[in-house]
Amino acid sequence: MQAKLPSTRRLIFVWAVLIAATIGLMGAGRVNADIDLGSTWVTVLLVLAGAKSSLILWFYLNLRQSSSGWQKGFIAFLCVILSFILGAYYLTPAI
Amino acid sequence: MSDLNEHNSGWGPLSSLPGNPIMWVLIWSELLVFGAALSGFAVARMLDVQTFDASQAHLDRFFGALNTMVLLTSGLCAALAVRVRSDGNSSASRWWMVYAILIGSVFLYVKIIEYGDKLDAGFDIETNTFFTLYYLITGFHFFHVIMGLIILAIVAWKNSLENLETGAAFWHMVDLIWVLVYPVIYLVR
Repeated sequence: MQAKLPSTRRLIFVWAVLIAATIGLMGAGRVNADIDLGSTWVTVLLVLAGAKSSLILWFYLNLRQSSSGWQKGFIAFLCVILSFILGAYYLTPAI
Repeated sequence: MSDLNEHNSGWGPLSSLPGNPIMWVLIWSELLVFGAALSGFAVARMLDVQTFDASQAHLDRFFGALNTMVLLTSGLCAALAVRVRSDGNSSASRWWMVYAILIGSVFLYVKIIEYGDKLDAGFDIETNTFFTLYYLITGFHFFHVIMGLIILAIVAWKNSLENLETGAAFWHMVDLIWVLVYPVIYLVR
């Protein structure tokens, strides 16, 4: 298999998206406030984390050049881990 | 991740992955370890939410976000080092890897400040379950950052495309793990 590397332009674009998503994560996570986020914002946080992880896998680690089996395997793994963490959050009794 | 793939045909299913197959074995194993650790953290929080939320309030969430941006930027530099090396520009590649190392070192500096603040405030690894897991998970990641910087320094020196791809892949894995660690430990509440 001859893997093709992402172009410089695409790498910079992906970086900009990742930084923007991190800023979004800071907003969703209310970094400057000590408040309970609630289930909606925690879901947003974990979805953003999953999206960022997928971008790193896809472009920085160039997983887009691998077989669909590996691609599905990595994405499924991320979904399982983040769903488990989200499930634990939903099952946490309210204070 | 190009040249390597021609030599990976003996690796079975791993040969369809870009870059060095051994690095992908490492990436999978690290994801499993950190995935288990973060799942354990989530379950521990579920069992003692008051302690976890009260302890988490002492973390500096801004520092965590800053370190995310630092690693993402350093990761971009490492990716660009591989990109320009594949275009045959060895000198520029070396410089991009040096930038990746310098920016990546900022992560260690920020984390050391953060650890210092916590220890000065009296929060150590034995304070409670939250801080035990905080120090273990972020400390293990910290160790990976140090190893990653050493690897980047080696591949910046011996900068064949194969070396650069393998070193950059390790660095992206470190980046990927922090992207998962930060929201779970610092933000979810």
